[in-house]
Amino acid sequence: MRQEKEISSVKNSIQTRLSGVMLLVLVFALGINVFIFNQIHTAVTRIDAVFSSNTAVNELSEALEQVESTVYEYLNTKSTKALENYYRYEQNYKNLIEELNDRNLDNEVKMLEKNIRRMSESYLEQTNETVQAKRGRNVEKYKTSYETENELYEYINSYIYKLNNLRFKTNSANYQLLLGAMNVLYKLCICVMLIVYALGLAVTTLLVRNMIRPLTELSNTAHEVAKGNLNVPQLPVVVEDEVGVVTRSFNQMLESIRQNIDQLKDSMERQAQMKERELLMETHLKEAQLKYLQAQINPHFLFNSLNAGAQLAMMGDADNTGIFLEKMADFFRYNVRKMEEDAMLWEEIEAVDNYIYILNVRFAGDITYIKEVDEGIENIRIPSMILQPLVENAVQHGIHDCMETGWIRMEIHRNGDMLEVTVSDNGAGMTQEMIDKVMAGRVDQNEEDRFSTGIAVRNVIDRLQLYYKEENLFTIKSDGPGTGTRVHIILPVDKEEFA
Amino acid sequence: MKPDRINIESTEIMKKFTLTVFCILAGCIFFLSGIWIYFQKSLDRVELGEGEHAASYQRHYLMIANDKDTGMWQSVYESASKAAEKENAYVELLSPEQMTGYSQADCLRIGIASQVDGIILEADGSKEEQHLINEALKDKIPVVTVMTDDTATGRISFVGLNSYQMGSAYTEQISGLLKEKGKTSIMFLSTSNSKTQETNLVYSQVKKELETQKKTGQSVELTEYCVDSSADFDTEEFVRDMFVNDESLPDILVCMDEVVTECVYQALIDYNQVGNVKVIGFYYSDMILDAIDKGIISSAIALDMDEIGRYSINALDEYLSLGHSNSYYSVGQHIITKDNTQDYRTEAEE
Repeated sequence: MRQEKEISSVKNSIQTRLSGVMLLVLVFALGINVFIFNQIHTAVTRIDAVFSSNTAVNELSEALEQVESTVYEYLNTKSTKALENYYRYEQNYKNLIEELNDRNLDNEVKMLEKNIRRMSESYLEQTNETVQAKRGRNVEKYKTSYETENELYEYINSYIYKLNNLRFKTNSANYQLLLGAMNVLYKLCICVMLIVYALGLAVTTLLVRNMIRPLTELSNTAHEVAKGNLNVPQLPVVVEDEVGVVTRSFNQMLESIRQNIDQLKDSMERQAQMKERELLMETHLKEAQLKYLQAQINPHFLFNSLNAGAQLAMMGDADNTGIFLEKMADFFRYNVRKMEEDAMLWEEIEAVDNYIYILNVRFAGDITYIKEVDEGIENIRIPSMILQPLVENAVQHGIHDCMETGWIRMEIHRNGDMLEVTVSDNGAGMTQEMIDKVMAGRVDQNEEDRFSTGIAVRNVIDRLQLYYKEENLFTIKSDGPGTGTRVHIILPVDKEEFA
Repeated sequence: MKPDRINIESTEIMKKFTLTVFCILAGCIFFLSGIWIYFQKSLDRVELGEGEHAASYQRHYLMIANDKDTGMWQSVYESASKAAEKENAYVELLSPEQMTGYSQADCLRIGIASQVDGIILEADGSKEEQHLINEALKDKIPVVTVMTDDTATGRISFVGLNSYQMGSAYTEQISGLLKEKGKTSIMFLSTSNSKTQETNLVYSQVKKELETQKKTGQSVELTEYCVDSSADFDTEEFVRDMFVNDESLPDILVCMDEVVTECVYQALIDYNQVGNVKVIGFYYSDMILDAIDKGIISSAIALDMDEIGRYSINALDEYLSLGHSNSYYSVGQHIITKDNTQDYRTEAEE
């Protein structure tokens, strides 16, 4: 229903226009046909009228013959019936000649009519005389009278014949005239019909072409759009018909698609921005977490270290105490200071050195610490507090129970674009299960551990992942319990830093 | 191209298109109107009323001509018609030859039965005609005789040349053609149509005058022949026969009739007798005028046909208006020679 309403609301619908044109052409053609038929009818009527005058003359001739034959019959038989017939036919003939011209006109036909009329009057007088003479049995008179009458009859007949001929001649000329006119009319009308039909054809063709052209344009544009080119110009609405409506709708649809795509783009951009922000926030969070983690330094380590320093002081070794406290101070300063993001490699190495020194003071120089560092890589930036926890881990879980024989080895080598850090020990070693647990972060941190600075291996792993946004940088290898442990870290380095 | 521009162009095209269509339709309507007007005019040319608008006259005269197709009778009829028109009368020309098998008497009967107002005819002197003329007068139809008279009837008037004048005119022409010495044979050739009492009188007059006018040493042999023209084409056949049979050829042929003159002229040429036979013709048709120009016919005598027509109408009109009229109207005569043929041509053209 709604569609129907919409169709009917189209101003110049194709149906209306096509019907209009067809109606126009048909009405015009019909008009011309009516015109032609009317003209032909007029001509035929006129032709009919033309020859009707001949018919009238023939009627006159027949009536005259009837009068003459009844007179003869009466003279022959003297029958009452013949007499009655005579009077009847005489009256009929009189009526007919009444219609003939009685004036002197400058026209041959009219003068013939006049002569026929006058002769007929004389003839009828004569027939009356004859009949009267017959009735009066005046034989001689009626015979003479009949002769005269017969003569007149011949004259009238010849005049009627002449009139008929003359009329036929005139009528034939008129007929030829009409026929000529009809012929011209026929040719002209055919011309007009041809013109009108050609015009109708041209109008229809043009109209259909005008209707089809927007459709073709629409189809081409639709094809372009289908190929993905939305940057097509707006199609013009030539006529407010169905095609116009479709074109307008198509334009609107195209505009809507463009708008939707723009909106989609905007929204995607917004989403990207949001994602970026989210990531940034995540980074910040991670940073906070990092900072938080970095802040988690076991206070026990501090207390124990301070106790060791106190004992050293009490022993009266002021120099060593001074050095110890200096190293400790450096260590903790580094720890505190390195709450910032990253550190130089040398700073990290120094922190390890300080830690080993502190431990050695505490454990009276039991720990064997071997350090192999390539030259020229000291100033490479790495995440802070990475090396120390590993060394700490090697001390705590590796050689803790065999301080005298145990050693810790830290190797830092440059390998292409990366630094390879290996912290190994010959201590307790680890089972695969333990390695997995450590890697998964399922090992509980013993916060009461006196030798721990509070930063677990898992923390190191997490921070490496956060920092480099890469996994598998950290590996732990051990051949089993008692075989020592080897922790290997790969640190990607910017090329610029190598330079 | 901007859609607006396309829209404007499309609207322009549509406007032009609509305008063109309407122009063509208007042209068609205009064309049809033209056809209609043409057709109506063609129909109007078809006169069904048959002289409804023709001039109306008070009187109706009947002119009975022996041979209405000859130039002579045509001239008479034309001048009579012209004169009648002035007098509010219509002249009808009737000729026996147009009514197959009818004689002049029949024509006269038709005139009487038609109750015309007056009859003009060339009298043939027959009893029947005399009787009919009198009958017409009885029916109050006045009859005027032209060219040849019939005094034995009650005709109201005669219009023509009298035989004396006519004879003198012929004599004058003949005497110019007579051989200087010796016998000159002269034949008067007339047809039964033209042969009347009048022609007899003319013949007698010529004979009488020639006898007195001929010079010493000159002798004249006058013969007269009347061709029976009651049957068609007999005149021509007779003339041919005469030329075929050389012996009967006269020195001078005097034709008393227009048709005879033309037949003789043609025969002269066909039988190579030009110069051998001198011809005096009658009336001035184009053919006769040509013959005079070429010298084949020496001269021709003609009555003033115009006067005949005019006077006959005058006579009838006078009689009908006043109850009487002149019983004789004398018309002029023309002698047509090589010198004045041009005048008659002009007259004919006029």
